[in-house]
Amino acid sequence: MRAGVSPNVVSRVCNPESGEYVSAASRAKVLEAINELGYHPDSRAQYLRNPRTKTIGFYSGNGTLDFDFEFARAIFEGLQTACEEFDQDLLIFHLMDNHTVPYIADKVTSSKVDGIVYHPRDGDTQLSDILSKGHKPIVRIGEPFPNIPTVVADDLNGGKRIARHLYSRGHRRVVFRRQRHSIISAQRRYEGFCEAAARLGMTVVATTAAHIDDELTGEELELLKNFRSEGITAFVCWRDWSAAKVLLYCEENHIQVPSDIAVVGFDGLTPDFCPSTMRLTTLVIEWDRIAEMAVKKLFDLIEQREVPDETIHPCSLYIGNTT
Amino acid sequence: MAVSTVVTGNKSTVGISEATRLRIQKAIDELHYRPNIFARSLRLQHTGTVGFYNGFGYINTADPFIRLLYDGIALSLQANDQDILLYNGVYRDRHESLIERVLSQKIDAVIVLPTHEDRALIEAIKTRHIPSVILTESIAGLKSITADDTGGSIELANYIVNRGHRHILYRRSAFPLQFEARRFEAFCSVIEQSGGKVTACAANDGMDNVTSREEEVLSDRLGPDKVTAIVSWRDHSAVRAIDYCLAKNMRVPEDIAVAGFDGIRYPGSSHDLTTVVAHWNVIADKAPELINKILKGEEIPDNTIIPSSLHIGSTA
Repeated sequence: MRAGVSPNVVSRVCNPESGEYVSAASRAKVLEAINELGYHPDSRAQYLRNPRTKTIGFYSGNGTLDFDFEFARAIFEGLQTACEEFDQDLLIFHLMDNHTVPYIADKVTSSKVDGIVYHPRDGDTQLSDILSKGHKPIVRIGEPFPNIPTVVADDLNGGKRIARHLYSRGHRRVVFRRQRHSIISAQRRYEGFCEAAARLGMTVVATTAAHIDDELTGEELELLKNFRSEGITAFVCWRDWSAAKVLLYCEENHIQVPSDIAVVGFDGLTPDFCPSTMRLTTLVIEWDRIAEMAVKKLFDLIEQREVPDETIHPCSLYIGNTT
Repeated sequence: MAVSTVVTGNKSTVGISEATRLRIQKAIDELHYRPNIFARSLRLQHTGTVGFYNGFGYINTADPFIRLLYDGIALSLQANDQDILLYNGVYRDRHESLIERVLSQKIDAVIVLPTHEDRALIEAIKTRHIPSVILTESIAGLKSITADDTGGSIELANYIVNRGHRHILYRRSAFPLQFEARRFEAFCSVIEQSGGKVTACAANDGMDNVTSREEEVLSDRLGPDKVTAIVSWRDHSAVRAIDYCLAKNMRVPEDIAVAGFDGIRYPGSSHDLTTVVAHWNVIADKAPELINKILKGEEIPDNTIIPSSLHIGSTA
């Protein structure tokens, strides 16, 4: 060899983390030869020996992160912060909508990454099902799924806190606007609310959105029009988006919030179309911290440490001017 | 041959019987066999991933400039089914390990938004012939994409001269950036030809706050040689200047005109700034296109210059 030393010595110089001894003279000779030859270790060849890419993948079932939405911004920032903390590169999977689920599953579990953080599309089961049976470390955010560790907000206790808050403001008969899809986190918000409300002796009228966009249904419009005769004093909504639709209706129809009807949301992601004078009372979910936590849990999985099925992150009640 | 046909899908033209295909698929499922992309990329030199190195580190979505760039690059890569790789925490180490990290063979190519501290990285990209496109800086031996800094500044300078300004404060960056120098030099050449005068002041830090030297220059509001216009190297700096002037009871543009460069609207800023619009969205869209031309072996110009346009707002 050019440096006149054995391959073993070259290896020791190139992999100082092995901690094996090399004399200063040999080291200098090897480094000189490396510089002359323009040698660089091939990370892919190294990978074949030590299969760790130091890369964490992120895949959103809703496609590319759309930064017009606060949720996407918070998730992206949490992922970056955690990847920095764990010294990992962050790979964002870009998959077009037209791909089949098996193709997507194959892509996201590729050897490009050591593991993935997955934010499912509402109602997704097919992809999660495939992923749960695979061998790639995976952590979901937002929505629990069997056999995939998930980081979720404390939806159950959040629901209870809203009930207690409304009770303390004198509300006894309220509407709970539920979601259209069967979403476990939304289900827990509702159950938590009903549990606490029942204990406090409140009456809950449940309605279900007919549309994915949480447009008000005929039944809900009737309740809003006749809130006095129905004895309803508050609308509790499964998410802020849904609550903003109620606020918009109240503004257009001269219903005073909160004196006629109080409105509460859930998730802290108040949309832009919410009337600007309204600061919605809501449970604030720290989505950036949830994303950070997901990377931390994923890192534990990669390092073959035990991870609970669910990691529950607390939410905090924000009291605005709608209750 | 038959095994590789099954593993890689239908890419091969070699025909295999259904029975054989099922037998192999069964073995694949039993063994949990997955093609190793890294091993495959040793042979094919292809990962389907493009790196985005942002010398400023974190991609802060509250910063409209970096958000615009990231958004454009990500969407353009997605349209081509390519993933994006980000390197967070780069500021902790800008030397050997960073270079290894960025130039690792996890990626097919890299898009670089450099700071003045990234010379070593850029040199390494050059010597190792990594397919790359450099944003904002043109560097001999590498492909770059920039706004038309020179043309834009000349247009702005002519406008400032035509509005009757003779003494202009030019707010420069705290850091030696090539595109910033291009903007400044082009601006000065026009003003000097017209018999005007430019007083240049560099910022103290990356925040573009008004410096004590600038306060001194702006304190003369009555003399025959007083400054009547402030031109900033970027919009962020111009917005800072406007806030300062308004706080000092100077009317904009009646007492002092202010102009910038970028065409980026900063949150919380209500000014309709006179500025050179650099069309960063076009630059962000185009960078991945250039990368893919390079990867296909097509020739591209050393420097792709995206035309900028003058926006006349209410501040100058």
